[in-house]
Amino acid sequence: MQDELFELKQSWKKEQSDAKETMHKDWSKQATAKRNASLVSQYSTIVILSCTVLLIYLFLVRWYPYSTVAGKTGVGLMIGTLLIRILIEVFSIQKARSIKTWLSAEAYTKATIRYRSFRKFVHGPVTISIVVIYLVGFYLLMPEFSRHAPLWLTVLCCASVPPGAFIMIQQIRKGIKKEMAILQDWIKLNAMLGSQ
Amino acid sequence: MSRQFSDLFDQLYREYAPMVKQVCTGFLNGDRALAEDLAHDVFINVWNALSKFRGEANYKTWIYRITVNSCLQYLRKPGMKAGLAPEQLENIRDQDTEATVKGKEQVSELYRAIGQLAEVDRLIIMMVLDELEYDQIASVMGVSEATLRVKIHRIKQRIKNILSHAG
Repeated sequence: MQDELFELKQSWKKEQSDAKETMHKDWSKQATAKRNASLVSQYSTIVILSCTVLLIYLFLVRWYPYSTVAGKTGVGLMIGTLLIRILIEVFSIQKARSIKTWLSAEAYTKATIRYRSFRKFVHGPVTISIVVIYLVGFYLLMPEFSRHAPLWLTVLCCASVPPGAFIMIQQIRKGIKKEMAILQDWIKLNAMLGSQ
Repeated sequence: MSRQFSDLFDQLYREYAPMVKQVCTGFLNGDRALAEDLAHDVFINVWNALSKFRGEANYKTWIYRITVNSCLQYLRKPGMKAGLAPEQLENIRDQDTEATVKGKEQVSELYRAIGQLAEVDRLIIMMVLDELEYDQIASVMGVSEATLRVKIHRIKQRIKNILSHAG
């Protein structure tokens, strides 16, 4: 039993010892660049959402403040849902960072599955709820908006929502499918580890 | 990162880069270009993790853990297929046959055989070939030594079958 792979082990070792490695790469710069690229990708959603919150705040609270209860509630819902989404993104980044590459394969796989399940939940029920509440907030602005804006503009604003919502739903479905596929793949891998 | 870590990293790279590249090549069915890319990912992960090394395991086991997890993650990157198409494998074998001596050919055959195993099995058998102790392999994979022994027995049988059919 001990020596049944003897020859293969010898070839394997020889191949390894024959390999020549030179330190021609600037790992410090490359590691920093990779970390920065990862940070940009992680924080881009947060930056976009934060800019949206800022614009909504400036337009609907500071420059053209809504005075009716419905209008104020609408602005509150729109800003509130976006802030919740930003918090979820921050939490998600922290969760991703907590997965350490030096864990055992089994622990790493389990941690990744937990993270992916969380992402699936965020892309699914959480995002759908946020979009619905955001749209309710948007429609609550319309009665007061129509008092100051021409009718055609109010109709245009209301009519532009369904196509926008349709596109958004398609994107959400795509996102859920992608997350599901990744999650299933990790679950399959976990089963392979568990079957040992 | 301090000079001390930088020197340590250089030392680890020199010592373990051939091992990491070999594992990456075996894991990616002998595709050396992809393996180079994956090994690069592994060492960036090593670099980023080095300041958090607490000495619970030796460096070899620690680097093996990072390598194994980087391999598992690599195949799940968007657009990354699990392994090569059979015709690509054939190309690799043909190039190796023409360009290398018998010993190299044996390793190429071995890469091809390893490539036919399930991805977890690929990683385990490469650690066996590298003569890691069973408790170290169990620690890298996060399974008990007893179950690992059973698994290794099955993988050895499968490898022998594949190689005997190839020969």
